Amino acid sequence: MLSRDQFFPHLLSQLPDQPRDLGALAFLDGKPLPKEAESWRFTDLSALQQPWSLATQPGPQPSPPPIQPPYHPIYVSNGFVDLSQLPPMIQVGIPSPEHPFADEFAALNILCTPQPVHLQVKQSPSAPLLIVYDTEPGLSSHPHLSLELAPHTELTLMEWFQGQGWTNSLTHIHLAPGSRFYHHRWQAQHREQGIHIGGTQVSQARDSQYQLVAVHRGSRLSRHSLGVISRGAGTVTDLKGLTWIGGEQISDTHSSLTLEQPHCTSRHLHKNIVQDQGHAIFWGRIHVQPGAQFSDASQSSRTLLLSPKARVDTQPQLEIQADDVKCSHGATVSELDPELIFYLQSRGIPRPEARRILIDSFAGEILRLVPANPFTSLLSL
Amino acid sequence: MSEPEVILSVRDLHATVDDKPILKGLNLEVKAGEVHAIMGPNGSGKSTFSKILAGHPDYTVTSGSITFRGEDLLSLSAEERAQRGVFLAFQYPMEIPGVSNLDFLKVAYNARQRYLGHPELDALEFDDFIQEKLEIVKMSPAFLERSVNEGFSGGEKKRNEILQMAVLDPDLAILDETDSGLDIDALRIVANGVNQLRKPSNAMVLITHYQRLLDYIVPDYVHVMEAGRIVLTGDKTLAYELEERGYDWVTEGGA
Repeated sequence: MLSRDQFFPHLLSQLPDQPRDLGALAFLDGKPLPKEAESWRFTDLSALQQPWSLATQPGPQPSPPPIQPPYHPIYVSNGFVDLSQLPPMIQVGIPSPEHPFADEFAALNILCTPQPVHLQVKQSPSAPLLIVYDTEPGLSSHPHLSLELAPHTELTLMEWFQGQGWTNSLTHIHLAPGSRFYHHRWQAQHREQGIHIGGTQVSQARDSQYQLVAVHRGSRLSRHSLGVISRGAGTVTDLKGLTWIGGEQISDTHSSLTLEQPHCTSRHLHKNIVQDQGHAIFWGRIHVQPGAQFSDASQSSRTLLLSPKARVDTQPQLEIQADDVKCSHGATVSELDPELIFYLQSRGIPRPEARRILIDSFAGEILRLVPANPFTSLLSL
Repeated sequence: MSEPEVILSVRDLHATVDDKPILKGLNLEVKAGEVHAIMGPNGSGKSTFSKILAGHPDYTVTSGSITFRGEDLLSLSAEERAQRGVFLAFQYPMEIPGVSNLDFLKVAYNARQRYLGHPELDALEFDDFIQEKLEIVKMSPAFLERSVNEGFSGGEKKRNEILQMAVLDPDLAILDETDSGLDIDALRIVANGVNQLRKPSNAMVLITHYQRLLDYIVPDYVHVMEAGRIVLTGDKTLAYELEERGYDWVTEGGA
C-alpha cells in the first residue's frame, strides 16, 4: 500500500516527458491523496492506494458494451483514443487549457493524459456517440475529452466505463446557445478490482439543455464529480443519477450546479440502492447566484438500504443568493416497505420476487429514462 | 346432491398484535357458494381477522386453527395462501410506483397458474385474457399502463382490487371494507363486479361497516363481531336491524 504522500509523486515520476501544464504541476505539488478535505471526508480512498503503473500504450480494442446500435463508437483503451469511426459532422479541434482544476484528480488527469481530444459538433449526427473506456488491470489511465456543441445542434453521448484498472477520466462539455445534449453515463467497471474517478464538467450557454442519466453500478471504489455551470439565461438542466452497489463497493457522487442568469430550470434526482456492506455517498449543491432570478431548482436524493450493514451519507444542499426563485431540496433514506412486500405476497408473488420487483421499480424511475437500457439484463440480484 | 365443500373453517382463534390480544375465540365456517358479511364496531377485530387470513406478518396467532379447503392455512406463507386461492381485497390498496398494473397482474396470475400446474400466459396471451376482465369492473385499458394504484382515485383503487380478484379467480375472497369511501356509482360498479365473480364453487367474506353494500351484494349470513369474537349470527335482515339500532343492543346482550 502506497502512502498518501507518495501517491501523486509515484504517478508523476512515471511521466515520459516533462509536464507541459506547469499550472497543474504546481497545483498538485506537495499534495497528498485527499482525506480530511470536506469533499472527500466520507470517501475511503484506501482501495486506491496502490502502486499503479501509468498506462503508456493502448491495450486491445475494448469489447463492445451491451448497447443496441446504431452508434458512432469511440474506443478509449488505457486512455488512448481511437477516432477512426468519427462521423463527418464531428471534427477534431485543438483543445484549450482547462483552468482552474476541479480537484487533484483533474490536475492529475491533465498531467497524465497521453492525448487530450477536443471534438467539435458542427451538425447534429444521426446516431448517438458512444465512448467506450477500458483500462487494463494494474494500470492507471487518464482519458481527457472535451466536446463542444455548435449553436442549435443536438447530440446524444453515451459514455460506458469498463475494465479492471483505474480510470481517471475527465470530460468537458461546452454547450453553445440553443444546443441540446443528452448524456448517458454508465460506470460498469469491475466490481472488485475496478477503480473509477471521473469528472464531468459542463458549461451551458443561454437556452441550452443538458440532460444527464448517470448510472453507477461497477467499481470497488468510484467517484463521479459533476460540475455544471449555467452561464446563460433560460437553460434547462436535468440530472438523474442511480448508484446501485453491494459487496464492499464504495460509490461517491459529488455534484455542483451553479446558475448565474435568470429563468433557468434545474432538476436533480439522485437515487442510491445499497446492498451488503456497500457505502454510497451523495453530496450535491445547487448555487443560485444573485443574477439568477426567476430560476426554478430542485434537488433530491433517495436511498434504499437493503441490508443492516449498508451505509449512505447524503447531503443535498441549496445556496440561494437571488430572492425571486423557486427552490427545493430533500433527502430520504428507507428500507423496502414491508406493507408493500406483503401486498405483493398477498397476490401470490413469492417474497424474493416481490423484493426484486420493488427494487427494480425504485431503480426503474431512473433506468427507464434510458432508451434500450443495457442494464435491464443485469438487474438480477 | 352432495353437501357443499367447507372452504374456510376457523376454530377458537386467538391472535395478538404487539402482544395485545385482538382476536379472542373467533369461530366461523364458510361453505362453497356462500357469502358471509362480518359487521361490527371499530376496533372489534374485523380488519385484523382479514389480515390474519391473508397471512400478514405483524399478527401472531396464539391459539386456535384456520383450515382452508382442508389444509392448515396457518402453516402457509402469504404467497402460498394466495396461490392456493385466498384473496384479500385491501381496505387501503398500496401504490407501487414504477410497476405497471399490467405487469403486476401478469406476475400474480402466472404465480397462481404455476402453483396450479396450469400453463403460464405470455405477454400477448395475457393481453387478450385481461381485456374481458376489465369489462367486469368497467375499467379502461389505460389503467393497465399506469403504475399500480399510483394516482388512482379511491374508487379506482377499489375497482383495481376487484380486477385483481377477477384475474386470480380465488376460492375464498375477503373484501375488507371495499365499500368504504365509494360514491354510489362506484359502489354499484364494484358490487356488480363482485356479483359476477360469485360461483357455486367459491365463497366470499365481506367485512363492512355499512348495510348499504349488502343491498348490492346480498349475503347468506351476517355476523356481528365484538371484542375479537363473533357474538351474533343472522341472515341479511340482521344488517337492517344493525343499521337501525346500532351495535349497542348486540354487545350489551352478548356480554
